[in-house]
Amino acid sequence: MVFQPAFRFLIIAIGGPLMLFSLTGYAAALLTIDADHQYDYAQTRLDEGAFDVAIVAFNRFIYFFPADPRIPLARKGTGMAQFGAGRYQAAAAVFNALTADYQGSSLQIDAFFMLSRSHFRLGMTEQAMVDLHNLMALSPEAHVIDRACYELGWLHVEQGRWNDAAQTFGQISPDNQDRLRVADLTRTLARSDTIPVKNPTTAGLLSIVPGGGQLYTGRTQDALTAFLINAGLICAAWESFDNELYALGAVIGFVEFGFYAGNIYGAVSSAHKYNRDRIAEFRDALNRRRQTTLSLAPVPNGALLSLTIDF
Amino acid sequence: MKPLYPAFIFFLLVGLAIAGPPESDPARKAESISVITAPIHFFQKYLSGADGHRCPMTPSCACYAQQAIRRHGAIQGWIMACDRLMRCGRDELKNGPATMTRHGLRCQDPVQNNDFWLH
Repeated sequence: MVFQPAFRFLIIAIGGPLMLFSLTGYAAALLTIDADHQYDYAQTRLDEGAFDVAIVAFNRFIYFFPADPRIPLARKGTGMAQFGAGRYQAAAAVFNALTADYQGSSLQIDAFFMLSRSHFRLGMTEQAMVDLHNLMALSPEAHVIDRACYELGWLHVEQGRWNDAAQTFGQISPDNQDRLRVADLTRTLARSDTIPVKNPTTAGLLSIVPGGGQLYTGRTQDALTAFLINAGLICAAWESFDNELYALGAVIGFVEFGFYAGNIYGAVSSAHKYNRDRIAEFRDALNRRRQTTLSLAPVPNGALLSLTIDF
Repeated sequence: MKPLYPAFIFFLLVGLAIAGPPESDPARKAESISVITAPIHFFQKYLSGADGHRCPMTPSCACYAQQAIRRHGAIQGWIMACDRLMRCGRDELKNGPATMTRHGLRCQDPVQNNDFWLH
């Protein structure tokens, strides 16, 4: 297609300015994200529980604004997001790096606490305790040691080490003992001796008479069933051999072996389950004392609103 | 013939003890377990299907037996299955947590609830 010179001039004269205006408008619509915007976005995502988005946003902040003073907080943010998303291994890796990179800062202290929590969630309770001991060795400040002792005490509670827990809570300085209700906790822990327990060995030995172990652990219906089934099968096998029905006797004897051994296994197992459940109840009762409580109580000339939060 | 009965039980137990644990080779173990659990599979497919899903616990006793045999081998699995059959629908209903299944409300009693103390 060939345009006449006059027509060509018209296209350039009208189309040129139009193109320029549109480009200028496009440039005006471009969004420039600065460090504040990016950090705020990442933090908002984290606060709202969009952990995967928060991780991406924090990493973008770290990449594009490496000189920003909030880089340590952004790194902590990625760790918190990993922890919130349930990726405790990744969270532990982040917090472990923070403890090494920001020594002597408050961030290192927070990282140690989060590292301990990550290890606990991974089922590495002993390692979580070591983390807190390391923190106490590094930071001589009283409030840090109190906080570490408090968390360490709860780790002992999770392990069922009641005396160690009481001892650790007792190491909290008197200034913080009231606030953390240490007296109440140690009083409750002192009652750990009253947790009812059943001896699995005794349960197993009592089951030599079928049902005896189940009766010992408070399972009367199981005990009666075990006794009747085993007694019936033993009688059946005895009668079969007595009547020279050897094949039948052997089959019944094999079945009876399973039920007799199962009776002993069940008694031992029920003793273990009984102990586990009683310990869990005691631990739950303790845990209820650390939860956030909001209460409203009438007082003379008004009402008392009480909010209790452990740090 | 009465003295034969204790002797049979004695030799049965000695035989089981000599037999030792199941094969460690995973392929052979899987093959032998599928043979051992075949009667349970038959029960699940043909008998339980006709009878209806009546076990008040989840997993059902048949499924529990299969899982126990897979986890602990034939002997211990058989013992655990017998234990479960004796407990089914009795005191465990009061102690175990209830859970909603596609067959209705059932008492939750997985193998892990009964072998946690072995580990």
